[in-house]
Amino acid sequence: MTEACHSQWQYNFAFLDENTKRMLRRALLKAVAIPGYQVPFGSREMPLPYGWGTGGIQLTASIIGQDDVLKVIDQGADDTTNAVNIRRFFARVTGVSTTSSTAAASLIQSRHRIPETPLQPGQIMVFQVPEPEALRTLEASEVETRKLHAHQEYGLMHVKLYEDIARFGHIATSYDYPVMVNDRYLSSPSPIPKFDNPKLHMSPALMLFGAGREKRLYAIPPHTRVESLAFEDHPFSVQRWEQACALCGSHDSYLDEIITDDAGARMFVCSDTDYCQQQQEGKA
Amino acid sequence: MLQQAFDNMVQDCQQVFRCTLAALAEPLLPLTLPCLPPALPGLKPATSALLYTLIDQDVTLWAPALPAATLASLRFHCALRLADTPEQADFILLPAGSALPPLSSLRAGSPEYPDRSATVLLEVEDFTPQQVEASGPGFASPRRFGATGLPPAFWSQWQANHARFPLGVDVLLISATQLAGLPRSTVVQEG
Repeated sequence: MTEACHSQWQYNFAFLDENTKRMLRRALLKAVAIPGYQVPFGSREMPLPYGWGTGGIQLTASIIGQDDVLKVIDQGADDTTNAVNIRRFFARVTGVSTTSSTAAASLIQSRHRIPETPLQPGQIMVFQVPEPEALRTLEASEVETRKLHAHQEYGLMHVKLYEDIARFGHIATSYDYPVMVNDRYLSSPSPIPKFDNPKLHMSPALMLFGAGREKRLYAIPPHTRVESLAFEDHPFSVQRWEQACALCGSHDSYLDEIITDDAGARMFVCSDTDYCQQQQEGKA
Repeated sequence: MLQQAFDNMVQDCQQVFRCTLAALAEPLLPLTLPCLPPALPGLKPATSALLYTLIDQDVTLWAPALPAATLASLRFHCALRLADTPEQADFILLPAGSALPPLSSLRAGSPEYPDRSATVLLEVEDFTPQQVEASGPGFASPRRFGATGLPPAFWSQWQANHARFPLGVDVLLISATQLAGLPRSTVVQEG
């Protein structure tokens, strides 16, 4: 790191000051020690509004180093506004190299997807989380939800899923599908589609979750049991499509439905742009 | 006499933190720290690295008597605040050979906030692959582990600590240049 670079940036490495990083780092260590438990932290004002990934950005800023290769995705895509801005932000305040390749990245910040390409040991996923409390829509009080977690009292969530079955005949939750981490804490996987939930279970990568507005972070260590809630007679299942991706032909990836004209014509394409690209190149 | 800390505090602390994060994410897998500062008197180089990385004015540290130069350096580099007793401290520093306060007496957090708990920095002589078999989050399969220079009855105390999960303390085992994480989630069987 040359002095010239420092003076050019005018910011500390990775934007945050060292005191803030230390606070976040200590919180992250506790989060890893108590998988799925939400650790409060002092969320800082960031140069973009809440809801745009301030939690994920603060986590990334506290862990990123010069050797890291950063990938940022927004709903699976590397080239959407949120992803482009965050990637450019870190390139500017850290000078690290960035990539769109899942396999080449050491650090992946994500808004609401886990890449289709299987994660590798040593990789770290950072999730941007709008609402870290899985029970919040069922219980508004933080004091109460803290008690429910303390007593491992998750009947409310089972009732909610049961009411889905009673009304719709199946569990209608399709994203932000609640998980039990290490058989202890009920956690929100952040609003990833339930399609991605199985990728959390026994993943070789470390998963970190940051909620900037709610000022909480939590973690799922590698090789940790993550179970999507379900009932014996209504087992957990993920979305399936009759269509294949219109661009790469993949039958196994999570598909976005895109309306292509005013007459209602539509196509289904991979949500994960890097995966789709690779599949297309593999065929060419 | 003040000791020199890291050459580049920002980058070196980040490197040491990532190593610590990895050590707790995959417990009892000794990792070599990527950079070491000059050792503080009375402490191993790896311990000094962790102190510079984790300690500041927001937390308190308890340690048995340390050399004056070490305390002065930590006050200068980390704005060290000492706790009066181990029971009150956020970090417990145990240089090699010092007596282990009962783990059950340290801050274990509350049922609503189990993160408000102590972290123990425990120096050992070296890591050896026998003694215990461990499993839990971060273990793809059970792993055997051992360390020479552990306080007597450490593993039985650990079992009691794990039994309180999610309450409890977390331990970082430190040799001269290596680090092994022992989060409260780790299940340990002796023998």
